[in-house]
Amino acid sequence: MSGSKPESSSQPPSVQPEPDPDDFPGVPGFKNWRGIYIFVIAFFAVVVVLLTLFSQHYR
Amino acid sequence: MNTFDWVVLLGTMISIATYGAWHTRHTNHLDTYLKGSKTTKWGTIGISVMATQASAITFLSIPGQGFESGIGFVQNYFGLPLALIIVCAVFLPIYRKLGVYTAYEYLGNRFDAKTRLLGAGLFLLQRGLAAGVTIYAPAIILATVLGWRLDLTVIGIGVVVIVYTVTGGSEAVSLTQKWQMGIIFVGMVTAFLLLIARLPDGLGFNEAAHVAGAMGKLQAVDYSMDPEKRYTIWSGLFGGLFLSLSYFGTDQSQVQRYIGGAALREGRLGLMFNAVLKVPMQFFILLIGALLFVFYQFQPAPVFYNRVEWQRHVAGTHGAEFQAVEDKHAQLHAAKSEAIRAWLQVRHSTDAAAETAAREAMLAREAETQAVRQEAKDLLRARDPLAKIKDSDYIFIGFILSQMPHGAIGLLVAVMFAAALSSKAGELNALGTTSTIDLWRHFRPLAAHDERRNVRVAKWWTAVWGLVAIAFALFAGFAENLIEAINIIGSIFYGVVLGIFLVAFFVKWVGGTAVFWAAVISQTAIFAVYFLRLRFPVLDFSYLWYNVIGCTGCVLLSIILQLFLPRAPRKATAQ
Repeated sequence: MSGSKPESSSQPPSVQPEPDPDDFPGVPGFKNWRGIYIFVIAFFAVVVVLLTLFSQHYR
Repeated sequence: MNTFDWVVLLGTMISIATYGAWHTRHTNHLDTYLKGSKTTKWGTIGISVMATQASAITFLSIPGQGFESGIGFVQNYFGLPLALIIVCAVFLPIYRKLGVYTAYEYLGNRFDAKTRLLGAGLFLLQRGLAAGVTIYAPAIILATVLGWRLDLTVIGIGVVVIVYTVTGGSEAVSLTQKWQMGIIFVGMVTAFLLLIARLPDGLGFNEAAHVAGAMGKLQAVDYSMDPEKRYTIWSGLFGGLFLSLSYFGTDQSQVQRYIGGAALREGRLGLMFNAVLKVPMQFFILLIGALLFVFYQFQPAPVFYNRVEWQRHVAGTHGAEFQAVEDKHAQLHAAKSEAIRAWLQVRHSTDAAAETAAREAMLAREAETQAVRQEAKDLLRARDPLAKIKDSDYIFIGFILSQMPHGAIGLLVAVMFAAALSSKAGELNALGTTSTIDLWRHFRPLAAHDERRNVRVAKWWTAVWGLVAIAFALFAGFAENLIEAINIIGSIFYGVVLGIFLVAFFVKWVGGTAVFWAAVISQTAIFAVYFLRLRFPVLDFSYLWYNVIGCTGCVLLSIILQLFLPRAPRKATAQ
């Protein structure tokens, strides 16, 4: 079903659930922990690539 | 070591231990004593996790590993980042929400008392057995090369760590580990820079790395699928994930480091700090070993690096035989140095054939010297069946003592002691905590309300485990390969314990009775495999597989047993 539901002023305003403070890592540039985990995996992948290049360079 | 070295060594070690004990001397709250300060930030937690894992053997043996086998050992840590992410996302939030002191307390919450006791018992057995080894391993090496008495070295390390660990508990452990890791970082960077400075003229880092690479020491990543190969990216990712998940997720010596802190965020960031830094750090330590190998290609190198052991035999009744092997090695080593210099000269030329010929000549000389080194070890074993023929642990400390300036020697020996104390402190802290929370309080539930009494009991247990470790190190005869001994002990128990935790977290419908008996059967099977391996060759496979067998056996058996058992009512958990 398409179309937007008209807002009724008689309805109580929808209450957003309180955000869980544990969901915010408090690290600049990261909104949630998933971002941190992806960064760690990406960093690890870069380290493996660099180690591979290092091995190939010095052989 | 001269007076200056002694001042550096004793000054750093005693001041850190005294600071830790003094700063935490009024710790009377159980929460602070067992979990550390509630204000601990992620940096301290991260360093504490790192310091607990990095023992003195890490800094004595791993450069030797880089020297002997190259830097491929770094792949063993490839499973660690993913394991730490799993611990962050699954294990840590549950531990914190339940407010447990130990990982095994969670098992009691999720299953029942007997499963909790089993988990705690397996941990105490495994860590208790390893406790003696972790104090003996650095002591035997340091006592040998420094000419100290082994018993006094063991007692010295043990008493210092007992004093501040008993006094301040987990808070003192984290506090001292921060400073000890500072000493370790400064010491290892100093060693690296001095090593580069000691290379022959005209041989900088780049040329030295080319020599190491040409000699097969810088193969960091091996994509081979050959199961015969010991270190590959696949064994590192798979086996490393398994081992790291067991160690960081279920071993109380690690769990205790990160469950405290100001908030969940601090523990998580502390673990992510390790997930990012651990692989580069291990690479750096291995690289020091590979560069040490290059250094000794241009120096008169010993045929056997445990010089005390070797000289004892040279001075003995078969001294002439040992001297002959030493002389033969010296000649071949000199020829190898020439071959390496010849290769370096043609390396930049456009004559590919000349480069290939020089490289092959260099590798041939290397194979000859390695053969003589093996001949020396065979001779040692033939003349003295009790002789310790593994000398790679003595390479780095030998370099420190013979090549470094005074002051730096004291600093680097302090690195070894700092690592020994920091890992030992984490271990004792965990043994004391588990004994108090999972054993003593279980059998004396009424005592749980008397906080001061709990702290006193935790202090006593910590001291008892420290004394057990010292006694074990003084009176037990250990296997020569101590790292392997620790790994074997760990692998025998880790798999089953991880299996129990995986069922707890991920197979919600399995109850305590099923997982308890599955764990007992799996652990018995692992013991049987271990003790019967010499009688039945089919069972004589790598001990790393004990982890896989123990874990999968425990998980599968739990599920199968639960099918035949009545469903237990769900206990309240944090999920």
